[in-house]
Amino acid sequence: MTVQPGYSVNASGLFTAQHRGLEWLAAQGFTPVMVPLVYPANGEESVGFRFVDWAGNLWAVRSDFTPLVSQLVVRQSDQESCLRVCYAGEVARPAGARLRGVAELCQLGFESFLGGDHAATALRVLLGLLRHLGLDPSDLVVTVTHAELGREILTQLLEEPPDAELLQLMVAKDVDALVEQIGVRGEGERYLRQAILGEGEGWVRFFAGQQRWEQLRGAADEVWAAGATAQLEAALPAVGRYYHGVIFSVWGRRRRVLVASGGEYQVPARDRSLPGVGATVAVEQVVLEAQC
Amino acid sequence: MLTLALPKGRLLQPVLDLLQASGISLAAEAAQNSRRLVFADHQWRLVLTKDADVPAYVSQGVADAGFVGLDHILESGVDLLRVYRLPFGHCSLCLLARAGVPLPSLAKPFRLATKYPRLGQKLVSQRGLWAEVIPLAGSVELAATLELAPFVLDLVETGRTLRENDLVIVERWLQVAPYFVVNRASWVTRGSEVRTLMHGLGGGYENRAFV
Repeated sequence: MTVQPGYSVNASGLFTAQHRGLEWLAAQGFTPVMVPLVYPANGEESVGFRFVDWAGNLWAVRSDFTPLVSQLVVRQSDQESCLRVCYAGEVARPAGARLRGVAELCQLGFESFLGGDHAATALRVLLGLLRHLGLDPSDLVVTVTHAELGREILTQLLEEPPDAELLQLMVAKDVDALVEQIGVRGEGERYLRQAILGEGEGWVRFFAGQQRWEQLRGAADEVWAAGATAQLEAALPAVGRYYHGVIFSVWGRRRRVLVASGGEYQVPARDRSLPGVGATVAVEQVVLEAQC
Repeated sequence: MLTLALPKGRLLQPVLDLLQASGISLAAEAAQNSRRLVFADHQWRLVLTKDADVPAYVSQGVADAGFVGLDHILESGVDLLRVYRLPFGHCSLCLLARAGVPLPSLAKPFRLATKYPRLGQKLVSQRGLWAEVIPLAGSVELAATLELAPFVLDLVETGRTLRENDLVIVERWLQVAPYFVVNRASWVTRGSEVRTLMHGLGGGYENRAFV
């Protein structure tokens, strides 16, 4: 048995988990596409991914999975019905991702395009996948929000769109500085503090419209139904700019790590905007969490 | 068990007082022992680190939470949750110079000595200025006195050090306060324990009066 440099678990464990995950996703109706290896595309700033099909044809090189896969699918197919693909492989990022500087080198993901599926569907698939890979749902916490919710909350309070600095205060949960800078008092302050510190769910009804509430509630209900714990958040950090809908992160309680994330997005493709939803699993973190 | 990273500098005593007041008796032991760096009982582990290292210990998940000034948080550039701003230790990060030194201009780069090279460069850029930042480890007022750089960027609390070194405040650039900071994963996966501590310290929703 060999140990692959850079990983904390042995390589065979990673490949076994990838393979099991792809098989399980294929059984759920997702078509495996080949998503191999790092490609140093264009100088030091461009560490991207090379996407090829099963025949070995290079389709594209990009620095982010999700927009690329969606555009590939559109290029490949003119059909309008829902398309589901899954992939696994090694990736690289210019910087650590989201937590503890972990680059999440070994990933497993799935995407669904052209409508039909929503975040709740993706969460059902994702939590089923994680269970199949050995994680007990009761050891998972899923944070759920909407990509626009933080901006919408601040816009309501300010009566104009917030600047990037205020949004950053919200992501950092620096509620004292935020309240001070906005100058909000009374009921608005109370619900803002609840929203940022995640205390109760009354703030969602106060700030979000009925449609937004139902979107978030639907996703959270899916989490609870799977046996995991759902938490509604006002804002999550460092999500891709293409996300436009419900987004989520899955955390393992045992090792306190991010094991998966995903959400609803829109990406430009040809002459239209393409709706998609998907999630990516950090395979190494899942294997370690399952062993813990 | 929750692990807390505590700064060994000037914030240590008020932070230990705060922890004791919130019922963490282990803080008293830490206050009496100046050499040990780790204190633990069945519920808590207190880790004493350099102030500037607290963000690394918390963001990397070695500690679930910690106490550190906004200056070190912003200088580190790491993802930390700043869930409670503590009610003591407030000061300002100021641009300082010897009396009579002309103000920095938009047209010309100037030299700036500081313990906060990353934050300093960011604050300079935000003001549309252009500076060569000289990183120093400490006693930055000396850089202005000995003309290593005409300007220094440093914390000012009472102003006593300035007066003793014949420096003046050119501009206040950032209000700095110590924060109770939390690792994002700990906030999610150990939320109940972390929130209980936050409330005990005086932070959070429950400790507020809304008018």
